[in-house]
Amino acid sequence: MKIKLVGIIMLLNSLLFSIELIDADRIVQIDRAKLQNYNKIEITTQRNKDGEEKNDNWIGIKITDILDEFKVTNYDKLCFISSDNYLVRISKEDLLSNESILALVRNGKNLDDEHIRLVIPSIRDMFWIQDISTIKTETISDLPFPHTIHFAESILHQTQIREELPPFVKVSGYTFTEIMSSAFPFLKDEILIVGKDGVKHNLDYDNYLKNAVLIKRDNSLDLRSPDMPAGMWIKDLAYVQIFDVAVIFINHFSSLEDVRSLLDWDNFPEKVILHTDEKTEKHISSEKFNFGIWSKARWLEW
Amino acid sequence: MVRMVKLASIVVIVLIFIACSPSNLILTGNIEANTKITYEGKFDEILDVVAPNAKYALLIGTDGTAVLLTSQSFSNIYIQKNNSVWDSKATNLPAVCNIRNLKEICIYSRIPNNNNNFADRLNNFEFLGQSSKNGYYIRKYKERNGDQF
Repeated sequence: MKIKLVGIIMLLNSLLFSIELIDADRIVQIDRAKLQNYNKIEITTQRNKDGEEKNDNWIGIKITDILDEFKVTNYDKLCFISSDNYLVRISKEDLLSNESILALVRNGKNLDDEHIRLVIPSIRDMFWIQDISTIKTETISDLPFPHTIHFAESILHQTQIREELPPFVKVSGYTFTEIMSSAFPFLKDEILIVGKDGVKHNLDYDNYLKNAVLIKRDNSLDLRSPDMPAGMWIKDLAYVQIFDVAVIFINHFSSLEDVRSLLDWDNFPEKVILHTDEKTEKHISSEKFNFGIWSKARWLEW
Repeated sequence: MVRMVKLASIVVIVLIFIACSPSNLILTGNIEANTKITYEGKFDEILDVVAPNAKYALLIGTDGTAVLLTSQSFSNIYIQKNNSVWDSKATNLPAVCNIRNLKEICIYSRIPNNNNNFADRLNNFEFLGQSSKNGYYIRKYKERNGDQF
């Protein structure tokens, strides 16, 4: 009886499985049976996982074959979202120039629906999202170059540290919203979050960051949110940008040149206008943060 | 009695004239209340007079389409009046900045005159995407009310 019940549940699960492909106003459902009909390719990957060399053989469907079938061409990035809200973005260039597949078989074993995953050999495996529920096209290009940059430390100094940050326990820090609302005219829509190690997420405020907290760890802050899978939390938060305004955590940088390097900025102004509580001065943008007025600056613009 | 009828007719004519005359374009946000645009021109020059510290502007059409601009884009927008409606025209910015029949422009001012009404107003809109042209970035929105969305 128990076995029958499990069988029925598995059958129902399988019938319920589908990946939603969203392209502009069009939504297409792709179920497992549909996936089985595509041509398959085989690829091998080598990666280092927790200090261990892992070699895998994958059989799957080229992502471009799925896009071609539905004539999806007008996009800059594909956004893959899992059932537990994990999210990765892959650029069109990466998808077209690499053997990016939706893997159905790993080392000869068929993958369960929730383990069907994106595999792109030349991209770090943290982007190989599984349990994919949605694939969404995005035409949004890069963010504007920030016109105003706030120094997070000046905001933190004026904010009372919290000893309780539910649902997280035995931590202290701040809420994301209380710190960022001091710098940004609005907290809404897409927000770029960057860690010191260069990990970047472009996240929707309401879905991911509204309940986020900044947890103090030594001289650094980690970003965690109950609305984000733990794999997406940012260690050593270094940079936040909404539209053309940014916040930097200067303890991770020695100068704006470091910020430029982390963010891959092409353009860079030669001079910036620094604002402190007392005065406003024009300075060379390559000066070190521990030099003169920089250590007292609250924000800058150009 | 005749005099009363004449007077009433004049009042009615004046009221009709006022109703039919082109209205001013309302500016909202964290700026002084009851600010309006009363004449056509380059957007940056108009704002220099009515909202000199404006950093963002949300141009809102009567169909609920809206575009968020930064102050760097203001000089590329022309606000014009056609018959009784206000339009925005821009050639150097993404095409969506050409909005026909503007109903309101919501301003975020660096030096606020009241609470952050700009953020409150923006929260009534659904984000549709971001685009750029000639290095100018804009965000496109759609108003969330009734059948407009």
